[in-house]
Amino acid sequence: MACVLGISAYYHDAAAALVVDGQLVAAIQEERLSRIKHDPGLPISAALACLAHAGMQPGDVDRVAFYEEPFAKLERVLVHLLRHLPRTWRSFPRALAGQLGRKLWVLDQLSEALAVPRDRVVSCEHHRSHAASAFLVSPFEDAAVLVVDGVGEAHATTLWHGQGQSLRPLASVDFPHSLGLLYAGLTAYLGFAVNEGEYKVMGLAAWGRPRFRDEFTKIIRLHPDGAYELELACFAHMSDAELGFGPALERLLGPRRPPGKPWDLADPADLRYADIAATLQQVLEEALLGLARRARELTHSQYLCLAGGVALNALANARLLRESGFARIFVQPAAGDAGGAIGAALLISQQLGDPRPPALTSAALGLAIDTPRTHAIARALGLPVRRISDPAETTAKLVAQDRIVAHARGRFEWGPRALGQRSIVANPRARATRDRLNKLIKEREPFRPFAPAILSERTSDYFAGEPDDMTPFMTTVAPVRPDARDRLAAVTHEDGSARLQTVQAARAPELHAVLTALATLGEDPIVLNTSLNGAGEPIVASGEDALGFWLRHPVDALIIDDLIIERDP
Amino acid sequence: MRPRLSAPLAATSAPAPEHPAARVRPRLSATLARRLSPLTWRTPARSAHKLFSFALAEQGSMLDMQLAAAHTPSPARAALYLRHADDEARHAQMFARHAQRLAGAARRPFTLPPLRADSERLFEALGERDFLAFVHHGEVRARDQFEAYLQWFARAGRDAEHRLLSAILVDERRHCDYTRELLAELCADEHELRRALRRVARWELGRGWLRAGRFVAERVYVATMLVLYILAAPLALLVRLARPIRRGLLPTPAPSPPE
Repeated sequence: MACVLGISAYYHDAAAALVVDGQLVAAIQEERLSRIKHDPGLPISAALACLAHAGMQPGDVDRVAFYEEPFAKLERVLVHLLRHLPRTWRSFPRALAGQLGRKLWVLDQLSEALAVPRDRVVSCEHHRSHAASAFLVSPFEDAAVLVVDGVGEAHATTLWHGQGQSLRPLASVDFPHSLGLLYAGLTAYLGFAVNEGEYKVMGLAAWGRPRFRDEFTKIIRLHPDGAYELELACFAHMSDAELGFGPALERLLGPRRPPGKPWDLADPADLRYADIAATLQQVLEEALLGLARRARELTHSQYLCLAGGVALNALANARLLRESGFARIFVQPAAGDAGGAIGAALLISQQLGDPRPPALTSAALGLAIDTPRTHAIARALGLPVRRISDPAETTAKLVAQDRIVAHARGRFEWGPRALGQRSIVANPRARATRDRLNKLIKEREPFRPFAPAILSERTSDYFAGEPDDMTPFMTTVAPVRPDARDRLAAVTHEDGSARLQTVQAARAPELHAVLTALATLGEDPIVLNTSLNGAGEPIVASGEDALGFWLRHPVDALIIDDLIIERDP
Repeated sequence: MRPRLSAPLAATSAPAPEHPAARVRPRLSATLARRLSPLTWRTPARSAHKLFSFALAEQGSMLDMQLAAAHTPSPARAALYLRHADDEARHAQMFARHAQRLAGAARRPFTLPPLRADSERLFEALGERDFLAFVHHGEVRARDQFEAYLQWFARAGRDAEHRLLSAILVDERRHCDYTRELLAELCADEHELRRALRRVARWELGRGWLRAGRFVAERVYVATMLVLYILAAPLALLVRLARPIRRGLLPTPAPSPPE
């Protein structure tokens, strides 16, 4: 029986996860505590918070498991810097400074910062950590595992076979050929920030037509065995990690979209960029389909687990379930680099003889709110705070009155999605609600959709489909039934789909109670559910964060556990 | 904009006389700001970059105040820090928006990157009393600099920038006052307060020295690395021969067990 702390850091979305006696006890992204979006730094605050949640000290930890192998990564970086000489002259000092200055010594840094003996700090392979983060918390005993991200130590895509507690590597596609970096390069080309604009590209794709297939056949070649190959001249990730794409891409697709320019999809120039996004999405889905079919041939499994940043592409996940031949697909809510912390912790935990954990049913793996302290701070701020006996019913009544409610209850979520514990909830009917949210609170591009959360058992009343292994974590989409589109105007995307979350009492009890109360009031048991944060901010974690959000953003009401603060309508 | 404080806090927010120790370095920076204004604000592009640096500083300060609110044991002080963070977030947006307008009006229009500030986690590093002394020091310096720039904008007829800084200065003056009051509450007496301000001034000097050292070391490092890069050129051929780019779906050997 062991206590293992998993750590991912130094790329983006640093995180810590704690596994005790084989059970996943807590998992926290550093950005929630540091308040720096996508914080890549060593997640010491998150690690200490995980331990404190379990009532433990760093001295109680049997192993600290880092999610990638620093020396293998340095080797890949050096080889590529030298291979692409002299184009890499600009990135050579920067890349080596990053590697030699801190990344290479990460195990020593963890040992020192956590005061854990150095021999208790170990590392795991990057893609193996990803694969473990998906398979070992999935409901499957036997599954194919597909890991697709930018790059780990050397691999950009890997196929695995998970059986019981074992993970067997089957095949890989190596850097610089990478679907994650294809998507990142096009994200930069479309004027968005890499590692945070990918969701925007996915949202934009619904507004365009995939009419650039000929051009894309020159950018990426898909092979019948599931392999893919990038036309490297179109990209710059081999020589310059920050640029992402090369001049050949602009020669092929036209000039890049200037970053920061406001979007206007009535403008033919912007529609053209939407068409490029639509083509990229289609090509990515076909590449993933090829890989998934290959994984099925190799494993003969009925089930698939997905991990890596690309597994957060909800459109692609839905298509994989429809067309890949797998009966069920599971995606862990923090499928990106943060998830590596869970995977590394579970791998080492099993190596120490602990059992495999039960399937992940809830993403509420963060910290709860200190309600008495939050109450005291709210009073000191002079806010009209009061206690309520039934927060769910109060929230439901406010939503039914078309009011926008910030809802912070229970332990916060693991991963980039707000799943009811730190959410803004609103009535899904009116498009005006969506516009108000976009303009006043989220300050997002007008084409980005909002997601619905629905009582699980009522899913088929509104959507063409049933709940599956992905819908509780909002990692897939489903078509909205034509007869329900008017009632779900604020959460139906341009292509008629919605990135739905199906809610069960055991998985998200607070949100389930709100939806049940809505049904009792005679309303549709659905809310618009978006993350409780402003533009460029991490999702709220603590009571202080929630009050700070309230001060800065004009939501109509804030519910924190059994506290409520309201603005006059 | 004056924060809405609950009665007990509002009662303590009257302006207090500022300690002379807090003005020594800020006056120097204000003098520099005054002298360099014609250069700093010469073109829309330079002005945009300067305002964007203010936006980054305000956002960094917002992060520090937010973390201070989470860490202070006192709910009353947490409330004040949250109000302060709210002001800083608003200032960051005001500076960033104006900077973007100026960047668009530059001779060669350009786009500024998204605001991405970092936090030094000073509350944890310094403790609450020295953190407050640091914040007070910074606020006084910012206020004096902004007042110097304000005078220059008035003389130069730069109405938009004058309005922007005037609006922000109202908050900056209030921040100077309340941080001074809170610091006095946390210190046993005037001597301890002076010591805290001097300690933080010394700490800032040390930090400035280290930053200057880092600036020089970075340039030496880049030059050294470029020499190394040139010397490593023959290895490039070897790497291309020995380690060519691998294509396709490759069978993966079993990885080594964890280290």
